[in-house]
Amino acid sequence: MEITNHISHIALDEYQAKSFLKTRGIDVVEEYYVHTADELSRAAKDLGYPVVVKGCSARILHKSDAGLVIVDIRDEKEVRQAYERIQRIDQGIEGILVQRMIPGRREFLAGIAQDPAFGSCVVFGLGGVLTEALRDITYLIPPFTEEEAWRQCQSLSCTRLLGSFRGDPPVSQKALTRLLLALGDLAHRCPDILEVDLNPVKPLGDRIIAVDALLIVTKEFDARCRQ
Amino acid sequence: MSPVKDLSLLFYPKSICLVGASNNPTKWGCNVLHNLLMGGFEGTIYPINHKAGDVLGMKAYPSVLDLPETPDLAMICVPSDTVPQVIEDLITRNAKVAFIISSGFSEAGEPQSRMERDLASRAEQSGLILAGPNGQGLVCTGSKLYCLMAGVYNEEGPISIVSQSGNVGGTLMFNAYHHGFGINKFVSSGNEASVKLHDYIRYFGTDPTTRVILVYVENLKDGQAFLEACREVIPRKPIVLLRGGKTKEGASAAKSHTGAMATSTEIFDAACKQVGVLQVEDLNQMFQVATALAYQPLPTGNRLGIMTLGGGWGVLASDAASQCGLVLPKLSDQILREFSSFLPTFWSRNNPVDLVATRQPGSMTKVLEILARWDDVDALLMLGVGYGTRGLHMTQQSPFRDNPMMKMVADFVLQEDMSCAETIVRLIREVHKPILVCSDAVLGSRNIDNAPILHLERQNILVHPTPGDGAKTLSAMWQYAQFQQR
Repeated sequence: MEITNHISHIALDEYQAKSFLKTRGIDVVEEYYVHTADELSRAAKDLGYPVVVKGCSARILHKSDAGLVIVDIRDEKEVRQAYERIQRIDQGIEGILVQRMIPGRREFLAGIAQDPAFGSCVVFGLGGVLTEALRDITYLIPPFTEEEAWRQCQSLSCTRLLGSFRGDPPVSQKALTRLLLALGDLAHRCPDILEVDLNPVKPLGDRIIAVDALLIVTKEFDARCRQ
Repeated sequence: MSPVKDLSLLFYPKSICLVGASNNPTKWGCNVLHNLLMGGFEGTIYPINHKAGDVLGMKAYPSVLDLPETPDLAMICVPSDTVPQVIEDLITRNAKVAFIISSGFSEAGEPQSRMERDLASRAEQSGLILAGPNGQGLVCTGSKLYCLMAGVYNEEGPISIVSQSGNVGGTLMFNAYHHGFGINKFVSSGNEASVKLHDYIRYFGTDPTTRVILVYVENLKDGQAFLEACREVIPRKPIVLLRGGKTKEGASAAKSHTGAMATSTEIFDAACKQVGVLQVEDLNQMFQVATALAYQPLPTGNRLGIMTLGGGWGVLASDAASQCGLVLPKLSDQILREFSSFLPTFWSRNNPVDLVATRQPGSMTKVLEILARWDDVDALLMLGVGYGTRGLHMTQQSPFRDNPMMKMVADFVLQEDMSCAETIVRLIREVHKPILVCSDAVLGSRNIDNAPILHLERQNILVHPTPGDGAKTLSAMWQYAQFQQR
């Protein structure tokens, strides 16, 4: 889907979004931003297979739907095929992201949304492709405590996914509440951030990692960042 | 956080003027004055009518400027376009609190919306506390202040209400009145031009005579301030909230009502859960939760014991209880032995304890006593009190009523029901656990002469109509208990 930037809103591309969120204490997936096929294959080797390759553009909000996300790439040949495929779909693509592929079936959603009465709120819930179908999400109004964050997560229908699940260990409570508190802090302090959409975030050991990120900010925020 | 707005003159005025007081019963200015008089307000009342003369037998004054003193509270009930002048006069008299009952402000769109904003900022600059506009009025039973468009005269109690709809608040007042429950304060907050929902919540939070706060909301103007107020108050007092306008249809009805801008229901629900506001589904549940919080001890855990006079009620109560986070511990061997020593051999041997329609004298009270004192439960549900008494109507009208055996059974049933009700009242005090009573005897109008039910209500124990109602109420109490503990 193409978006035209609103007069007051700007969408950052995935790489910019993650670079910013990283500075605010949010754990994001290890990745490189590259332009050529050679750069891409070097980066993939450096990260270690399997990897994920994505077209990276602020113009495209739903990359998977556009065919710009290729997962489970296992060798250099597949890396180069992925590169060509992205070029075929969108010749004018600004850049390519290559990421370590995070294993595991559990996908959550975390982010920031706006409400007319409460202002910037933190969102957390079931992520991945099921987000829209099941709408199992909860909200936290900042400022909030670690205890409140954890309690709110446990009120979800998908709360069992936070425990041990079919052989996967439980999600780290500490990592999850740290993520939500970091988002809460951001929502509370930065009114210029209108929307954050981390979907999916995936648990891995004692981490919870943002694999994808979308950030919508005001023009003022964007101008400050470019100075 | 800003200091709590001092609304004591709003609720405890020594003198009131009613601007727009009238002899004409088709005018609200007559109605409100009439209700104020009927309520027995003991301070001075100054009717104000620009034609002066007498109003309801009292000397009226042409304007605020003509009053012999500045009244503590000014109630305003004149057409909206004349309100700004009244406010100016009040500011001239250095008045402290005004309540605008009149409608025709922001709920009517522009330019009335602008007029409302201007009034609010004028009042705030001048240190005049301005409640309303478009509010039905207010009640404070402690000061015999019944200054409301609706005539309802509750006795004093621990429950205070702030409602963005006068009628919805009125329903709660009438419901309490019919069951013989007191109310502390009620304010119909109207459009909240200046004094907002959170100001009333914070004031009730500091008010020593309020123990439970009820909130009806359609339009949350400042969500952050509302949450801050709730956080401040909830460790000390529970807040029970009903929200109107959750659906598209409801929200559009609310818009013409109090001018609401809809927040998402998901976010609103999450916000309530986050800070421990007890959200209820309807007015019935609100009243049930409020009275239980006001008059029963809080449970210290979520373990529930159920005693029932019929199997199905126990099943429904168990389902409802487990769906709302309560657990039913298994009866211990010792309890099993105790019950088996006096119950019929075919009793349920389980929690819920089903007395299987036993007619052994004293067995209901014995079971209650043992269950209530059992350390493994934090709360009790008693299902079916007054059930037998209701059946008396049948025997009283029966052609066989003179049959001495039938008379004996009727007396026995009434006596058993009464001693059960008395035991419940006593046990709540002795064991400090909530005992909620559910009985279909309160369905319909005949409960009025049901002695055990009336006995319970006189002791401020509301009887819930269905087992599910009792379980949900208990669950709300347990939810609150967890927030109060921290």
